[in-house]
Amino acid sequence: MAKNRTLPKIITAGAGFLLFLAIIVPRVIAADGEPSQMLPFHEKFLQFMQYIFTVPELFWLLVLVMAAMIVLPFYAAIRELLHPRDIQAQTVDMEYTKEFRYFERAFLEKLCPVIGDVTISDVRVVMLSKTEKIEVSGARRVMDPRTFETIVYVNGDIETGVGIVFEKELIVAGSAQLGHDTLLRAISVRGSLTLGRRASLSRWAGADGDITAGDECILGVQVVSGKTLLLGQGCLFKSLSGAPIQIAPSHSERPAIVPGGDIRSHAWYINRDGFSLPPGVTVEKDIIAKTNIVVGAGSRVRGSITASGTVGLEAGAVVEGSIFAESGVLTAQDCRIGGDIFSQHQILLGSGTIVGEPGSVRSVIGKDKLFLSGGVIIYGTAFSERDGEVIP
Amino acid sequence: MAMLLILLRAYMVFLIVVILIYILRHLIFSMNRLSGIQYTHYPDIMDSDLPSVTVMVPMHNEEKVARNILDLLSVIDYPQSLFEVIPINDHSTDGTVAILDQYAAKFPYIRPLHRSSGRRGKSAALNEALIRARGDIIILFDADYLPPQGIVRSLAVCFKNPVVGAVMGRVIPENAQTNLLTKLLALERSAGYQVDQQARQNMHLIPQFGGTVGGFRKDIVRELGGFSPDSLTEDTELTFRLLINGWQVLYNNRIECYEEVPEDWDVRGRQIRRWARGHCQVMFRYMGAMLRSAYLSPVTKFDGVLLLFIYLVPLLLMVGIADAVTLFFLDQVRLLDSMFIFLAVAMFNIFGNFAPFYQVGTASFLDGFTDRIRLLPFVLFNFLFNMLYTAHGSFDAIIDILFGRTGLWQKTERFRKS
Repeated sequence: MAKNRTLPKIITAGAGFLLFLAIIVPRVIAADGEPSQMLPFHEKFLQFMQYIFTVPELFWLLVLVMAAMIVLPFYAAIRELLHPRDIQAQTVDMEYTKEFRYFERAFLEKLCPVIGDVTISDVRVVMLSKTEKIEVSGARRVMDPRTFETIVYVNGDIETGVGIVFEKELIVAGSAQLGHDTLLRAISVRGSLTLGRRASLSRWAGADGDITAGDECILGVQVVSGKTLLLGQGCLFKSLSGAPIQIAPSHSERPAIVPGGDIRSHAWYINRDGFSLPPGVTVEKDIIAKTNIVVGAGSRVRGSITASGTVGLEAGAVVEGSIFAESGVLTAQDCRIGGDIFSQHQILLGSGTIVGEPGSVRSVIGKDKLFLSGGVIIYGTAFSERDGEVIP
Repeated sequence: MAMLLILLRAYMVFLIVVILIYILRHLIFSMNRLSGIQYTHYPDIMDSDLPSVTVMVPMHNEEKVARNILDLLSVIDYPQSLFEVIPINDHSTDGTVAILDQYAAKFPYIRPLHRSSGRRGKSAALNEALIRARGDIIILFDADYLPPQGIVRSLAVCFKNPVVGAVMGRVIPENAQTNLLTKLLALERSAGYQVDQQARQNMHLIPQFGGTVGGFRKDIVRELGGFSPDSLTEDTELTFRLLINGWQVLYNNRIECYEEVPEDWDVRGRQIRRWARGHCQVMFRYMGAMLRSAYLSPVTKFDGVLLLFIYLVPLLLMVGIADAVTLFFLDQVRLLDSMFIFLAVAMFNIFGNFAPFYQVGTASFLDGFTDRIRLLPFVLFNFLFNMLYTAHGSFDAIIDILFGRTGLWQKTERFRKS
């Protein structure tokens, strides 16, 4: 049992302080003659200081205390210097590169060398970052509710029913079709992956083929599809990648979101609230403003937009370059953005908005929040540090 | 005599106000990093359309470190058709030339520039390399740096934003454990980047381009006339030239790269003296233009003034000490009778000593290196050492401006063993 050294230290310090007072106070009182005499504080203090300098032992005691107070902080520093606990340089990952399927690859790189023959069905024990059990099997169908407590490797396709729980990673050499209310830690699929309604993923999912997530799925930290990633209504996410990412059309039509508004004529104007580009015009260059920017319906910007405020695109507006906003980015329906979209706060992409084009990789990053409406298509990635959500 | 006394007193008041402003600045930056809104920038962006990039590595007698950086640059994750490396041999007399030629023969995208005539120095070398560079974005590394595989992509993607003129990453000492000096420099770097630079980024002030682990747009720098050949801190100069002309300088805390910090106090002293001299040169040249710039807000200009002024503060402090001693012997210590001065001195004593330590401690905490915080009291020695050499460098700059003298570029000695 470790000794508690704090209490003795406090007692020693307290005793030392009391001893100090015991030496000084009576002598000050004695020098003063009349302890009850009520002198003003500053006079009392001056008297006290004068006394200290006339009594050598007190003077040296004070010098000693002051010296100790100066030296004391160096005690830990000198100990650290002589017996360093901080012995490692700060780590920079020299091999880090941006990669869509980083988590999945890192896991498979650990698993593949140790898993052995996957054509034999059994439960085996392997050493990953710690000792793990792996249940290896061929293609399987699991329809009754069940909890898998080990890593599961399926050397073929897998189909599951409602409410199956995978507490560890699920690796599928074929395709996977998982039923409603499935709970998953992570899943890697060579073929295509279908997640039923309200499936919940806590970490990552990766598939070489299409990924389809039903309504109201919770999509963990990262979901990456080599082909199309189709999300149902009400899905929650942090990071998505697909070629493309596609949001299922809304079940019910909602009125179009028209940010900004109040575009009066076919003329440029700047007001206190921001800069508005009227409908139906084309701008050949970048737009940079330390304010809000609204691009009118059907207008086209052949460059990029950078704004200190919010950027709003009215219905059918096109930005061929990228959009960078310190505040939010809002698009109405059927907008087109050729480049990336980055906001320090929120992004809301209205229905039918398309980012990028087939064959390209673009990013939509809303640091605080990212809302994707029905019919949105993104060629590349979508990411939010806090919350991403599919909205009607 | 009366006028002299007024001047001496006025100087004390001025100095105390200046120091209080810097103290508040340290405290605000630390508070911002601990509890303010943090602005990340663009390294998370993945984009298939990347700009063409030229990596430049100025080298003067760098045989100890040249192979390390060229090995790492040969495995950088960036499309080869958009990537080239120009190691600049700047009047080397050791084995650097042979090393560069060896790598050039092996990797077609490594195209060394050998300089054996003309003015020596980083600015002149960069100007010559800018003419040869094919990339739209120039990324700089000093020869002792160890760039990770993904760093060029992370830096280059920031230029997707059309207002970004330069991008700066974070520097991390790889030899931090060598001795007390390197440990203290690791603390100093940590505070400088993890707190100071990132807080300035968060607060829309002026993050500084550091001339390494960073990049800039080639066309802009060429339009601005390249680097001043007599500049000793071309990085600070570029920062202010970009800002004055409406471009943004971006700092990104997540773009990290190892460097080698000096292991010898004498080498460190010369390095910081050069920095101070160059920084003050930039102050004399660009203070007026910065204050007149239409692109900068009043708050940014104020931060710019503090940033430009910072290397002059130790010299002012030393003059202040002499001033205080003079006032004491002239029996003018009654200055402290004034409540305002008393409060100012008290605040300085209470918070002034505390603010830089708070910043260093905050940075170590954010980096997760809590054991390192034990060395905090030793930072005092580093501050005193820096004050001496910085004051010397600032004094050099004043002499430069008064007598039209130009400084000679001095390379920082390398310590790498293998």
